[in-house]
Amino acid sequence: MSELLIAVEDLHVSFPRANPLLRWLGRGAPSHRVLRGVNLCVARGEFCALIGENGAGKTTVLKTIATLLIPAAGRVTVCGADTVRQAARVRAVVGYVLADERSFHWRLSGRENLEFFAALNGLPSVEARTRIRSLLERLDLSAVADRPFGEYSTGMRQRLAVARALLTRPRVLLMDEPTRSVDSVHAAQVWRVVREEVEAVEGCVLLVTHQVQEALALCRRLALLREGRIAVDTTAQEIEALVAGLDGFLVTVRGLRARLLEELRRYPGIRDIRIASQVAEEQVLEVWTHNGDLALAGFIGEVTGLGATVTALHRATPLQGLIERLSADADARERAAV
Amino acid sequence: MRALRACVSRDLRVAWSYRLSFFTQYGSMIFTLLSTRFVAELFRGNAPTELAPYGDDYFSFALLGVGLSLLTYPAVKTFAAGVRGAQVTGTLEAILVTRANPLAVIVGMGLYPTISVVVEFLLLVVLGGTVMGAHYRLANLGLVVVVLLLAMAALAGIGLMSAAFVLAFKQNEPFTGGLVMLSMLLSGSLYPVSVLPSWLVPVAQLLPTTHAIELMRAVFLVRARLETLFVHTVSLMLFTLLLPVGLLTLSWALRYARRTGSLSQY
Repeated sequence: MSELLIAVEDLHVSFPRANPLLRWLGRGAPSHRVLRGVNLCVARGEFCALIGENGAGKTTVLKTIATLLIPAAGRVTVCGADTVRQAARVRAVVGYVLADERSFHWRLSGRENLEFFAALNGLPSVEARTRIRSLLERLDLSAVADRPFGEYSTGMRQRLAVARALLTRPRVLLMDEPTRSVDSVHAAQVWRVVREEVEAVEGCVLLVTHQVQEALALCRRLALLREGRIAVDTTAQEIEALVAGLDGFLVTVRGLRARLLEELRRYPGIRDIRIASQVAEEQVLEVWTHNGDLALAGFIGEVTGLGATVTALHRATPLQGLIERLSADADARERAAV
Repeated sequence: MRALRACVSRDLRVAWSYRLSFFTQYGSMIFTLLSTRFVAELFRGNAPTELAPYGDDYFSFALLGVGLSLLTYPAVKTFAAGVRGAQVTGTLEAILVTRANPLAVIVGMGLYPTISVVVEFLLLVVLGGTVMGAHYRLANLGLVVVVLLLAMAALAGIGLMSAAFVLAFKQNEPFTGGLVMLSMLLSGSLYPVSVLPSWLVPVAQLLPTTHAIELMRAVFLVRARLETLFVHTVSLMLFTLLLPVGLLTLSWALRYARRTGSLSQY
């Protein structure tokens, strides 16, 4: 069996709702249980996607692996080191792309930010400079490297976050929606760099994403987190079979008011529409159709009629549909087991 | 050490990016110098007897006192401000997931502002002596460094506890503000501690700034008796024990925030 780089065993994480004084007095609301016994292993060379609805606890899993959270129960090891008792050893092998793309110093340039994080990671300055130059080039950030971070677009910020996570050539790469606001050309570039880096160190990737197509394209394994547990842990091939006939589109629109979504939902052939992401005026809509049977020209006309512009459209599997199918599959298996 | 250097370098770069503020931060020093000089004029040739142990020159006496008092507030608040800033800008988690020791990084967050206020104090003293006519009988420059290091270590201990409070409870604690006010009032910055009512003198002795000011005046103004130096040095050294206490508190607060999932909350 391949070397296990991440091992999550019966992980429970709870967040207290009451303030410390009330809890000390035994008063206040009970803790909010985010994770209720998560088991997940990621081996060397594996790319594993963790999917689930908002609030399912995906980021909590990543933060626990990255030593930013202490579990209420259970155990997490990274390259054999315990995330609570050997946190320093864990941090030495982990790279973490945070979901919050603001997590840089806005007055410093992209290069200066990377220099700061390289220094915190103990990289000698000559090595750091070479490494930073290489990552900036490969992630197409060289031209803006010396501009203040505050002037970066959201997509540039996310690419810089990827560069930061890769600085130390980590064996375990944790990525929380790393390409949420990155255009498709740069997203492909990000994944090429990530793949090269991970293969070079025989590492692994645990990716949290809401983009099913991306997860299926990159990862051989997918795990569905539901109600604080891993409900399904399966291969991409099995998922592809499962999502056959589950059709949808990712439609990028500009200037669509949220209250008009309801009108679009009533359009013939539409099963559901959700906002997958939003950056300023631009929204990415996840359009879930009945068997892919959608009159595209008419739909675009409808969007335009509501005062918005369609800037991009491509076929994609809707996350919600996938989650529902995976959940139904898991429930059926559970019932069969009982 | 690398983490501390990285934090200082980062904060210097950030400070330098605000050019106007970088150069004007020392402007308030001119007002301190001038106002202290004008108040000192009131005592010219008519110094009260309480000033005699300090050499009769009120301007030098007050300048050292005011300088060290002004240093107290930033010194105790800088670590909490660093943590708060990192929470608000969203950089705290990104920093704490690096290989650097989390405690070292938080200490590093307060280092540049601490260095900055020490430089400000030294500039104040130098300008006071060279331009405004303060009379110093400085015997040993090394002692000045020792006193400053002891004072900053003592205040940093309190500052780290304040940062721990911010990490754990997401708000500034009310105690250091009171401590700073008490220091302004009782540590003898504008008048000797000996003029305080006798029942307040023991309270003044409980403030690290009191001993720092007394020591600094002993170094700068008079040929201090060994006994005086010894008493205040030992007192200040006792206050430096707050430094490990501050680090322990901070370590507990970090653990608490990691357990409650509140590291990035503010």
